[in-house]
Amino acid sequence: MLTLDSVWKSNSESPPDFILKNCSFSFRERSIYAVVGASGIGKTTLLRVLNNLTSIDRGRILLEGQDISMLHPSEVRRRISMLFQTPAFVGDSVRENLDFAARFARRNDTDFSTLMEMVHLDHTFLDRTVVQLSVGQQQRVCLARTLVTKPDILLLDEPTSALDDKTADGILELVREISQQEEFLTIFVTHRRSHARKLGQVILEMAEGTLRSLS
Amino acid sequence: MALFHLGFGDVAISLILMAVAIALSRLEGLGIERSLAIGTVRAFAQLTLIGFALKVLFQVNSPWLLLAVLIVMISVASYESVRRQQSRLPGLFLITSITLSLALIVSLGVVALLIIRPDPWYNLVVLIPLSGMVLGNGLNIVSLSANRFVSEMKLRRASVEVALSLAAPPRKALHPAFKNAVSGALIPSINALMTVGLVQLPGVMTGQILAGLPPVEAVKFQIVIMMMWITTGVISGVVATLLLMTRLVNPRWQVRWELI
Ligand SMILES: Nc1ncnc2c1ncn2[C@@H]1O[C@H](COP(=O)(O)OP(=O)(O)OP(=O)(O)O)[C@@H](O)[C@H]1O
Ligand SMILES: [Mg+2]
Repeated sequence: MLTLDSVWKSNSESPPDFILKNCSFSFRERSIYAVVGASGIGKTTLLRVLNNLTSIDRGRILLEGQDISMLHPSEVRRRISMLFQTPAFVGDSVRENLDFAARFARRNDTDFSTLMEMVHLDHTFLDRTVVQLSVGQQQRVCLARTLVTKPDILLLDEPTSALDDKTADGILELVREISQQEEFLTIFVTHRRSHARKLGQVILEMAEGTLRSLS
Repeated sequence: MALFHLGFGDVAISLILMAVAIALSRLEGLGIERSLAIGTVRAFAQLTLIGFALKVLFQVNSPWLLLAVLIVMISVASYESVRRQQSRLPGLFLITSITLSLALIVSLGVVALLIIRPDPWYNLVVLIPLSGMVLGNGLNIVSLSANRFVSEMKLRRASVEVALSLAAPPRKALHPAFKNAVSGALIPSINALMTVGLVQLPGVMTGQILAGLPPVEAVKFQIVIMMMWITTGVISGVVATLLLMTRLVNPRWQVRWELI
């Protein structure tokens, strides 16, 4: 469903350092992949590459067989959603954040209350100010916001790194529930192997610029 | 006929003021004595030189000369805009040149050709000083907004990336940074517009009154110049920042963070 085909990606240093080195991998639909790897190895970069947030030097990324560089960036980003390492917002209230996403998702049918239910937040949260929420609640709001575009693929960049164990477990459980219910291809990045085992159906290790399967 | 006439000796006496400034800097350890001294020498030299140059230019008075002088002025301003940035921004020289040319065309078009209507239309005596004001102000606004735009982008990197990843076009994702950059750069101009005449008389008007123009006449000119000033500022901020945005984002809707 989502394929990396001999992808090379360098950082902006000179001489360039390759973060992805001839990386090839095929992610299958309706599966949950966990990617582990040391800090600074390039896990965030991998997800940014898959979300078309940054360019690659060489190779192709195929979304259902189509080279994403041939698709309109907005289409790629609607079909592939990303949850970032730390919550960040594009509006003051929860509703404004969801509205922002809906505006570019070409979907007017989104029912925000249902979305809030999906991330186990009461619909009264819609009118709360995001900065007044706990980090765990903020991350749930961000997760709800990634769902607005009705993606096929969900990318998660260590969504639990800023959370305590109990809250983190809650988010992991939530991600599993939503991924299965929505039949997403989910790629979940973490440096905690316990989290990888808890959520991932396939566990991948990132090292030396490539991905290899551990399970 | 001027009300007061200044001899070069009179002008030299104004150096007393600079001496006070330098003494204060020395006394309080501000460390700007050197810059003040160099600045003074430069100001005297540059202004004297330009005074004589203008005299010659005004005698020749040809549209081609006007064009040549404007090109030189725009180039100097664009170079200065590049020099003023904290980090090297791609294409800033060209961006500033295009922006300032546009600001010049719009503001001089209205002020010179519709309001002042010099004879001949290219009269350098009218157009060169006006262009100088437009370019000076435009340069300030371009530098301020470009600097601010880049720092706002860095500050807002996380939410810019979120917005892009939600399929927002770069124009929308960068709008908060754009808005703060341009409006922030314009705050001094807007404040000046609000208090003009109440707290201080603008330099041009002060100069005109001292040179003997009746105050009400000077006021009319000043109003026109304030309008020109503000329009120039808004055009410069908006156009330069939009052009800079196109350099910092590629057609794949990716921000080239490595450039800033
Ligand atoms: N904006 C940037 N500019 C230059 N280099 C960067 C930038 N962001 C990341 N890098 C470099 O790219 C490499 C990979 O970074 P990346 O953030 O993808 O690692 P990571 O595996 O996600 O690490 P962590 O687990 O700490 O989040 C690092 O060596 C980092 O220094
Ligand atoms: Mg990371």
